[in-house]
Amino acid sequence: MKIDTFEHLERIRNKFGPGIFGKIIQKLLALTFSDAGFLYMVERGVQGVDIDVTSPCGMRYAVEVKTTDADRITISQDNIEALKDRTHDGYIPLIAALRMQPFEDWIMASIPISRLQKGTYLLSRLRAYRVKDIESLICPAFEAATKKHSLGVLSKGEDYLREILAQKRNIP
Amino acid sequence: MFRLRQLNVHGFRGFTDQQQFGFDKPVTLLTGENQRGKSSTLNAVEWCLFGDKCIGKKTGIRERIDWEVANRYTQDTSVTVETEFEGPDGKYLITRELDNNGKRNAGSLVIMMPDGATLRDDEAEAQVYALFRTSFQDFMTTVYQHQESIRAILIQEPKERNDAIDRLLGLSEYRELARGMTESKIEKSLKDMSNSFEHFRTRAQERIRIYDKEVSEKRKKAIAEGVKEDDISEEQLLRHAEAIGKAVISLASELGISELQIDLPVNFEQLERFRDDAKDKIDFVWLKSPDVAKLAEFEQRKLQLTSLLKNYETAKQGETKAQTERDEFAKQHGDETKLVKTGKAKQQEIAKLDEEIAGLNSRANLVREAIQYLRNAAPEDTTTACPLCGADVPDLLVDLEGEWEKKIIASVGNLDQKRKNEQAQLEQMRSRLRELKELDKAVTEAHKRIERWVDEIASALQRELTEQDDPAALVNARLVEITTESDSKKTALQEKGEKRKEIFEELGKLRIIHDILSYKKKREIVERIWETSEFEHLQSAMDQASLFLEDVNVIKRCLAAESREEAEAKIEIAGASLARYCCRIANHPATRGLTIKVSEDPRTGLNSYAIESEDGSDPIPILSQGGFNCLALSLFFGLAEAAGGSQPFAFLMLDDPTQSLGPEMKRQLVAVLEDIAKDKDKELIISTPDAEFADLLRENITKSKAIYDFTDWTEGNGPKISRIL
Amino acid sequence: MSYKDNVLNKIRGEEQRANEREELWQTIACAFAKEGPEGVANELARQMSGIRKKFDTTLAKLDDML
Repeated sequence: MKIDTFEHLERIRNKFGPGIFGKIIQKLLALTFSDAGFLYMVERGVQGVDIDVTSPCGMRYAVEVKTTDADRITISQDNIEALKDRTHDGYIPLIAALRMQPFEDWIMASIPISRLQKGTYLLSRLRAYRVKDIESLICPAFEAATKKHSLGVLSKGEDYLREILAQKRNIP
Repeated sequence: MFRLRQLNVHGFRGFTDQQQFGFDKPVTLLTGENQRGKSSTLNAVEWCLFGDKCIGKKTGIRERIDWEVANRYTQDTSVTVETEFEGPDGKYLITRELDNNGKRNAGSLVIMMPDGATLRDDEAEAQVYALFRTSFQDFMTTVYQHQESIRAILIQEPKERNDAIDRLLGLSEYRELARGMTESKIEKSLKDMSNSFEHFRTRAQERIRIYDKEVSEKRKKAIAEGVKEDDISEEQLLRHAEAIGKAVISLASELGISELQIDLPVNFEQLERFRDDAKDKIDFVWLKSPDVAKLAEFEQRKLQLTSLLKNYETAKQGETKAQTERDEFAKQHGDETKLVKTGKAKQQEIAKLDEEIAGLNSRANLVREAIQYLRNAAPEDTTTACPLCGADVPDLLVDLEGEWEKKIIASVGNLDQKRKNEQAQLEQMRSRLRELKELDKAVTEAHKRIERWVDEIASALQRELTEQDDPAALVNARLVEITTESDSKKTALQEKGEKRKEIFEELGKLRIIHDILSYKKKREIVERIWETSEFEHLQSAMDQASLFLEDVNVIKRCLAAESREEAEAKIEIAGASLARYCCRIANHPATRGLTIKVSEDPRTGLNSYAIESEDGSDPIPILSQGGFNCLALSLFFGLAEAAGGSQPFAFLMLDDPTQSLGPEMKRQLVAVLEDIAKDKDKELIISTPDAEFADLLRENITKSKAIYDFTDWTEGNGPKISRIL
Repeated sequence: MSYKDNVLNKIRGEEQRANEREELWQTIACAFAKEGPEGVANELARQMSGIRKKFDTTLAKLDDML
């Protein structure tokens, strides 16, 4: 991501702390999917997979969102169970990992559910499973979404994004 | 099924001349001490069938690394091993040879078929495989129990034991492949690439931070100097430069220099050149301006006159001082005339004193001699007679001595002292005279210096100076004139000077704005790195490396999974036989219902074997070395039994099977071998250095036996073997 | 079936990149047959080294841009 985008996000993180920040990023990403033309977007704050989306060409993805400062992410057993659940409904599991550093960008990794095990995954290893098509849509859209909504988020936090997402859902 | 009938060995390992072995009995024993060639005999069969497949690291047998095929002690390094097999269709003769330089361990293979057809090399290799359908690994697990395999399993370290059991099960290739994949260290390469990228990213981030900081600081400075935020743009900057250029030309015109050219910048890149050019042009027009030149001249004159005045006044002071010193000296000590006169008087006085002293000295000489005479003369002759005239003088000597002491010496002494005093005073006069002359000289020189400065002043003022003129006053008057003219010029130039100063200030602002925009541009360049094709290539390379690593890991996983499945299958096949044999040979409660369970070693992904007793407990802690050996043997027998009909070879080869076995275990092993020989219709070929075991075999195996006793081995002749029927 | 074929079947059963992995496995097996585990290590290191070289060259160009 560009420096400006990083700076926006850093301000948000400094204000709300890492826990809330993760949820904000999840909502921002959900918004990004919507802006990028993905359909039937469902974003969950609590149980289950973080985001369900359908790509413009009809592929359904169950997305687990991970934010990190370091060079790795952790997948829990709950994450795996949630993703497994969705695969039964025909969803492709997708790990969306963002490293909170300038010049780093979203990695959208589609790891086969049979291969997914709880534990730590180096971001460099996730590269082997990148879905470049999704990344090419999501990365620029995420920059735009962050730029557009950062002030609103700084002012009202998660609630702001909830409202925006609700508005998106109401649009037929 | 194929039975081994004959073996001919030449030049193989410890063998020298051709040695023949017949396997015409159900049981063949190879006995004798270690290092006599027994194991090499069995290895020869193996090498004949498999060539270099039974050599090297890929076998998983440590002893086979750098394994030598040819006898190293003979000149002739050619190797020939010939095996004769009896198969369903007749006799098969398989010969493997190694040429004279012994380099190719594989050797060349020839097979003669029962119908007399002969096949060579690759065709022969293919035919051997087609006949026996047995890999080296399978041969090792179900036909030929190597002594190394038993030895390996005796090691207590779990990693080594897992290794050994894999080998026993014929799974070494999987393990060795996995080892090779691990040793490639490609994961480290990916890590290094990630670290390099991270390092680069951090440096880029740091660059941006530095540029941001510079921009912020320069922005503050610019605003403090009156620059507006709107001015900080490229367009405004070029306009600003244009205004400065025009101001420079205007100033030049006011200073009397027309026709001045200055190139205005048309883009950002030309600004630095323009700045330097403008500065140089301003300096140039200023210095070349007539008024400025005149002003400089005035300053020069002022400096010159001030310096002359200072020197003149210093010289005047010097003269006064010299004169004062001279006058005070003369006052104190008198002038030259007085000093000369005084000196002459002293000289006269000294001359008089010299005369007196001379006179006194003459009398003194007389008195002294008279005294001497009188003292030396005879007492009755001379004491009262004068030595000169002879007159009678009573107490002459005493008188003379008294005169000498009281008058002569005292008088001469006085006169001497007086003379000395006079002389001293004369010297003093002379010294004062010299000093006076020096002071006069100093005064004269001081005069000369003043004259010199007066000449300089006259030259500077361009006029003659007489004694009536006061040079200092004249210089001061001239200085006042110059100052007045100079001030007038300055006033005239002040306005132009202000304009010049303004232009410099504007140039300063231009520079700051240029710096701000330059840093912004540099920042943009760094930011845009992420949009370059080079960055994309970098990402692509990292993706490629990650994919490659993942592919290798997947293959490794498949390898490990396959190895595990095969291990499970083989153990299941061996299953009951394993427990039965182990229990029988070891006869220990821990070996009852013994099973081997295979799982994945979480660290390496390779097979990890857990041995369990019937009750689910781990027998390892209580198994002896002999117990482990039983386990190895049991696995071998179990697998051999399981292979059963599918196994093409109708014989088993065991090499030193009694390692760490006690007498009872040996007896049990013999019993098991007896059953195998009887019930399974397998021929047995057993090599052992264990005399007790050899005896047990001889006495208890009911099938007929051929015994080859290896009694000796020498470098020149190889093994010495005798066959005992 | 030899170990080569057994592993190959497993690789083919994987969901992704079957062709690429099959080809890689053939290379690995061939290297192993010729030179044992060292052959495998060298071959894999060689391939990775090729990628690394591209990476280093490109990184050097990006360094110059800084």
